[in-house]
Amino acid sequence: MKFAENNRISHRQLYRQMILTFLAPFLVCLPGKNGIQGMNGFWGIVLAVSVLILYVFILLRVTSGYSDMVRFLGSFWGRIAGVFFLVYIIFTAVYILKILEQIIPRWLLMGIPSGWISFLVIVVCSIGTEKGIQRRGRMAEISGGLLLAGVLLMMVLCLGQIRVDYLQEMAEAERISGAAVVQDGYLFLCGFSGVGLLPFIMREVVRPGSVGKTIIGAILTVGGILAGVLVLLPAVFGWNRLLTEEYPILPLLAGAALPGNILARFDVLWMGFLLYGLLFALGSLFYYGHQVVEKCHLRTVKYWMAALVFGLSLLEVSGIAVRTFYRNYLETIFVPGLLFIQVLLLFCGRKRKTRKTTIVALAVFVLALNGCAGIEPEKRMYPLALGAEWSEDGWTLIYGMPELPSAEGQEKEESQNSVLSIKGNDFDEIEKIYNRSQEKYLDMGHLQVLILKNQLVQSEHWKELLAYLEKEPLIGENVYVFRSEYPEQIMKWNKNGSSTGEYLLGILENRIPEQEKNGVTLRQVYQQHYENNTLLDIPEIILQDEEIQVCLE
Amino acid sequence: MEQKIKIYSELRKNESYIRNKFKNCADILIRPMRLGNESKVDCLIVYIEVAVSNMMLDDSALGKMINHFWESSSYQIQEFVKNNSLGIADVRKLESMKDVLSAVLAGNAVFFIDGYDKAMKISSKGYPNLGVSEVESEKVLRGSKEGFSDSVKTNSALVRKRIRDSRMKVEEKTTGVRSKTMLQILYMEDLVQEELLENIKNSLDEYRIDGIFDSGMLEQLTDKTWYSPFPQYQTTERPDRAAMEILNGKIVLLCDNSPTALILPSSFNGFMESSEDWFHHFEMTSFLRILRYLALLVATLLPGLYLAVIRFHTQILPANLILSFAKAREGVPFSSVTELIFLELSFELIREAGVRVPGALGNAIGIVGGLIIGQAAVSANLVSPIVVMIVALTALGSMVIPEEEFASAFRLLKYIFLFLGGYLGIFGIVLGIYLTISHLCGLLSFGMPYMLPFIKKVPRCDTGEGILRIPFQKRWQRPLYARWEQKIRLRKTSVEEDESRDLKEGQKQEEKNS
Repeated sequence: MKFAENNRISHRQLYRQMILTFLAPFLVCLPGKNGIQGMNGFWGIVLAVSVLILYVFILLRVTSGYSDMVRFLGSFWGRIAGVFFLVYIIFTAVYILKILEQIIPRWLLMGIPSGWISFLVIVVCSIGTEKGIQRRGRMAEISGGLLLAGVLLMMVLCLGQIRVDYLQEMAEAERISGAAVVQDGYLFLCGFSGVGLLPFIMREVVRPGSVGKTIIGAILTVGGILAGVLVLLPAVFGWNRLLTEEYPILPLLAGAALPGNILARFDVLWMGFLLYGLLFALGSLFYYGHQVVEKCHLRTVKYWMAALVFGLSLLEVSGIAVRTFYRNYLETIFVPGLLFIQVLLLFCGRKRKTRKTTIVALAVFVLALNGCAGIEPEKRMYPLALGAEWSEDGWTLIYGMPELPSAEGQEKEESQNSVLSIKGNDFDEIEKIYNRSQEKYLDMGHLQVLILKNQLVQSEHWKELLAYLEKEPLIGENVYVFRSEYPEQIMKWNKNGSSTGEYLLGILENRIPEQEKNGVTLRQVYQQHYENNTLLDIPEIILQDEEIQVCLE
Repeated sequence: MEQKIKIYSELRKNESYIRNKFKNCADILIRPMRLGNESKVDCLIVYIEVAVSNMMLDDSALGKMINHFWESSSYQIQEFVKNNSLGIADVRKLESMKDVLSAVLAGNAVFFIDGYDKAMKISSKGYPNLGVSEVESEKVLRGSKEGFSDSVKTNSALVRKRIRDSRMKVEEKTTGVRSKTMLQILYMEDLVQEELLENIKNSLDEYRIDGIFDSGMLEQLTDKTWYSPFPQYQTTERPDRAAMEILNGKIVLLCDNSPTALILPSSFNGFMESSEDWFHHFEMTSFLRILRYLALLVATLLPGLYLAVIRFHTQILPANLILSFAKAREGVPFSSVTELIFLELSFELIREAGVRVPGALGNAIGIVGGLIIGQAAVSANLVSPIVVMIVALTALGSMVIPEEEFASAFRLLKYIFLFLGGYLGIFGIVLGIYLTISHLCGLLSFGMPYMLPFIKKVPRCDTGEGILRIPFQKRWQRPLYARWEQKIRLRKTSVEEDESRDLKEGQKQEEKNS
């Protein structure tokens, strides 16, 4: 039986494994603050990909050495090399875990303790990693194409948010220098250091002689997508904002809309794709960990690697954790070390002999569900409009809530929109007051319009408001921003049962293309803020003869 | 194990042995008789009362035989028996008492003659069974309506009726130390992979068990990954489906007393195929297959996704929709997770009750359960209307999956996703998807990956597998299960070519035999 007898994976399975393993961590970790950016990054990737293509040929030559390092390098050095690989794998796993700990509570599951995230992720990712490469190959073949298609589709959907003037701004602001290109290229190379683990499975790939083309194909694909993202990001966010975002890939789709308004937002799905990729990358690290243990004759006990990664992820001394120094270690120790071992293997040829070691480990998936409970939809308050006022006495936030019957269209009688005003010295205090006085959870995920008081626009305090809004991941960046002299009256205004948010949205969107006027979105406001530290010219709403009018001109 | 005791030439010894063995077995009739022209030949006939035709009927084989013996001498009777001169179709000589007992218990009559150290097995109608009836669980609009019956012999005959080729082999095996259930392994000699055949035979011999009463017991006994909820055998009640799979190079396992045939190896995509898929045009079938996959996703993920969205990621939905959900849930005293579980379990109860009660009443239960209880639960504010819709859609989705057992696995999985989505949101759903894919990719069905044909080492796209159905004329290759050298299944050919090929094959066979 062709399938059962050979424990090998196809080139396509290897290609998809590489895509699944590298794409999501690269998209999340590399672009952004302190990462690869702009045209320097673009050319850095081009340079790094050229180097990687040459490196692949060297890698193929050292494959035989990886099959049994102890035989190849000797008992002592073989085990030392194995330990080095393991340290690299464990630290990388902890790094990915820490990223997940950062992303999930902020973007997906508020309030969940990071320890639980790590525990769940570790349990799920370590299951089955001790088994043959075929299982991972099949997983990659099933889901690799879907992930790639999903990422590309999301990027296509994102194209509608691109603004050419932002690209021009990037071209003007960024200085392309050789040093920056090399630096970004080296960072990309460091990201791809995981390729150095591939020889552990190279003998389990069909036609290993021609596997180089597949690896190069995967490198080109990942590099190409990342290069595309480097162009896309400044075109969507603007150059200056990009310099301050740690993970700019995550809010990339916060302002995008699906054709037909099937879903209001789909950035959660985008996160789902990225999350799956990160889980696969972590699973791959565990798998290679088992390979290293086997091929370097390191005796271990069951689950030690998963337990160690979990333990290290919890470890934080004086604010210093693995994540703090991982990148530095990667650039200065791991990548040179891996290269050194590979050069050693290239020159120290000994007779190869494989030894089968049985590693049996079964992970028990225990789902601990305490600590993370969702809030029912009827126990949430959905402000569709938010008014903000500032005076010497402090801040006032006005939440405009729709009346449920009118919003769902079940009852048509006239009803007043409910408005909640809360005053406080700062936003933290307002949140505290809200939490003390209101029974329902404040869900800002459906905010449609933001109305600033003219006085606030004229002062410098709008920056504080923007900083507060930016920290709130539920607020989409496609929220329309207006200014007015009387935000509270406007929000209380009601006609035919429609809420202020919906009414204002209708004024902007329910027009034929010739009549359509572009409002100002929150994303544009952010962009102007990051670029010039000024506030964009915002359309004003006036109340005349009990009618709302939006002055877009 | 019965000892191999030889049949005695003295009838009395045989009779006492058999009487001893069948002591207190009221259903077994042991009838001594004296035949021959002077009633001098002592004979004995042993059979199960209901399983064997009435001896006295002249038109039965036994009746004819006894009538004939009535006027024969002792020597003539022995000669007749030795030579089977009456030409009764299924007569076999038995040499040991073990064979005699097995033959009687299999529903045959056994005939002894004094002075002759062998017995004669005379087949009769066998045990009572339902006979061939219309298939119940795999109904189709187009195609045969015949279904398998409880008798393994009838079932193999139904398959043979569809594949009239000497290369289709039917191997018999007995399993169950006490039940001695007959199994039949059906396969195409030249298509099946030998390792697969060997593998299944070894699996069947791996355990000793008291009794096997249905193919389901056999299935669980030979499952390699016993902890997996996913079936590793495909099942069918349709002879045409079994025949089709045999021509794909698969093996069909028939078990006596079970109208369900097991097909192996199985694959994920195989479970999503209906037997009529190849009887309809490819465009419609492709559309239906896509629909089935969507239904599978709905059946598994919809409740979990609903909870994830309304409890954690409300921003996904348009504002009007989430407000509508919120309004609908006002007044419901339970959390949305409890509400959904309550309704899902209620539906499972209705489903189970519908299966257990007789046909017409089952339909009534469906109506009472689905409409009246659902409406009442909404009116009583026990559940919100949207949850009723979610449960109904989920149920519909699971019913669209052609294979019930496969659908059941996803029904179970739905509850896991429900908890994951309800308590961990999209994060939980992604964890669940990762685990499910990881588990499915690790599954093998008799050495073949479960996820075939979505994972392929060799690009073969004309096998007809996959989600989309290719046109019939383009399906010229056999699937991966068949032997590589027999990969071509469709070719344009003339009558002359056919004849010459048959001639060549005949010559090859002759050479082989010589």
